[in-house]
Amino acid sequence: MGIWHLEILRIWRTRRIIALTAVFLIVGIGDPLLVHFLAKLIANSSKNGVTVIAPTPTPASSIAAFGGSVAQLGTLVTVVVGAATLTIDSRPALAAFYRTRIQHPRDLILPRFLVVVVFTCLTLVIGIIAAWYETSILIGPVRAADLAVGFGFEALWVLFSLALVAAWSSVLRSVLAVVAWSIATLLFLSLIGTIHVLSAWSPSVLSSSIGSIVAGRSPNSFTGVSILSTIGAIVLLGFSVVRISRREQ
Amino acid sequence: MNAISTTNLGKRYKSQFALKGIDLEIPRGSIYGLLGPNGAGKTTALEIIAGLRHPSFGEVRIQDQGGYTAYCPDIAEFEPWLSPAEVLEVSAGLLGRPKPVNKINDMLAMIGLKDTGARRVGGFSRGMLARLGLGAALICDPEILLLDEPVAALDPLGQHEIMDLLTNLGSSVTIVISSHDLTEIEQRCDTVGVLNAGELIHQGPLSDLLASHAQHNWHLEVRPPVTELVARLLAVPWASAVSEVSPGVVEINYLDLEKAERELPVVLASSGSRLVSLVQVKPTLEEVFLSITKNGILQAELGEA
Repeated sequence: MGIWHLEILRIWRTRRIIALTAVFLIVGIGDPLLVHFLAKLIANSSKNGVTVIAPTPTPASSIAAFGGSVAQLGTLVTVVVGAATLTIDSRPALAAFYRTRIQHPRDLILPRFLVVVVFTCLTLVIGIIAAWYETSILIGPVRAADLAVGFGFEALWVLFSLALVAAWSSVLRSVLAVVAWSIATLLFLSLIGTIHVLSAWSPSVLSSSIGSIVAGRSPNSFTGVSILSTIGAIVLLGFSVVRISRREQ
Repeated sequence: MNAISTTNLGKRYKSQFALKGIDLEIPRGSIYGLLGPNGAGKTTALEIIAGLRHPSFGEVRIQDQGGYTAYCPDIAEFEPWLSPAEVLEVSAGLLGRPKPVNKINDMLAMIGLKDTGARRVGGFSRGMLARLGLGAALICDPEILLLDEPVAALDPLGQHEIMDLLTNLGSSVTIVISSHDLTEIEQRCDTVGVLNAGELIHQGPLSDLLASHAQHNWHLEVRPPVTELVARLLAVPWASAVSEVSPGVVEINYLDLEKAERELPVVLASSGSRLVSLVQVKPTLEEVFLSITKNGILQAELGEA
């Protein structure tokens, strides 16, 4: 059994694929439903003659809600799955089993990284299809091309987030610590994204880009941050490989 | 020719030395026992040889012939969601030496895990994991096998089975065993190295180590009573101590082996005793080990004082 087969078995048998699919599917189905019924829910919960007027649901607001959930819940589950997979040295005896059988640590890290990226993106596609279907039948049509472009930017966010997790996993040995520091770093990047002059350059803007694209924002506005995120992911992954190569078990 | 040799190999963790510059010489095809009390540096030495740790100073030379150096840690661990057959497949596959199903099944039978079927490793006991760890190493056809406490988790029968398996591998595999089970080491290893507090305090053939600590003692067993015999032995100049250690068994500590060998039959005949047996008292590896490690600790304490 080769390393790629092993990694596909890992994501399947550890049920990480189910966790990813469940989260993206739930937000893909749930968010358009919530947006559609938000006005009725608010109206039913209003008391004492107070009238709260909710905005009229639009396809853009539905996909934006989905994008927001992907940015938060989706990123969280991606980081947890990534940390559980990429923190190679969390179990020393198991790490010894792998390290004494591979030529170079990159042969261990890259398949793990790429399998998680690919399966996270595949489950994200399932979520996007669910959101597109729900939005189309409940609220109104959404251009598939916009969703495809939005998915491209979201996939870059997944790539960057998991590269960050890989980098932390080369510094820390505990899965929990890797999750905590990865989330903290991503939150820090989101904070940077709130600073006006830096907002276009923080990779966190990609996390909910699908909503922006459907709302009419030009894909060209994401070019700079896409290039920066891709370079960042490569650098972080390279850092991870070098650190794990040098690190003692 | 040595399969593994180290020169001034040392490992320092901050201010603490785990290894203080050891020169191991592990002959090709030997079964080398690495002994030492807890914290002596055995695991560190094995992990450096396996490439899992970097030495702080010194060097390791592995003169293999293109073969694989396998390492089994004391507590083996595998992905809990794999079956034992899959663990063996992964083990060989990662090295680029995939094995057919019949070889995998043969190995499972050899390590006593044939009946585990499709059971996942997650439910295995420590003993079963230890067997699987050994199988995962052996399926790769290693040239050098580094085993850290390979039988510590096994019951006495399992220990015997696994040590038999290792012994039967033959001289094509160089085996280094770190173990606390001195009886097994004494029975199976031909060469030993004794580590104490990061220092190699003895290395060489096991027979040399035992011979160097041989006591000048005989156990002479005769039909009781032994009073007359003891009295006569106390009178000879070549015996420094004589005592009855159990009914009919007299322990004789001799000063001059040649004289003792010539004159003992005479004394025996003159006392009228009926001989049952005469045995040279040999120290066990455990006794030698305790003796040299205690001496090592004492010397270290004296040095610090």
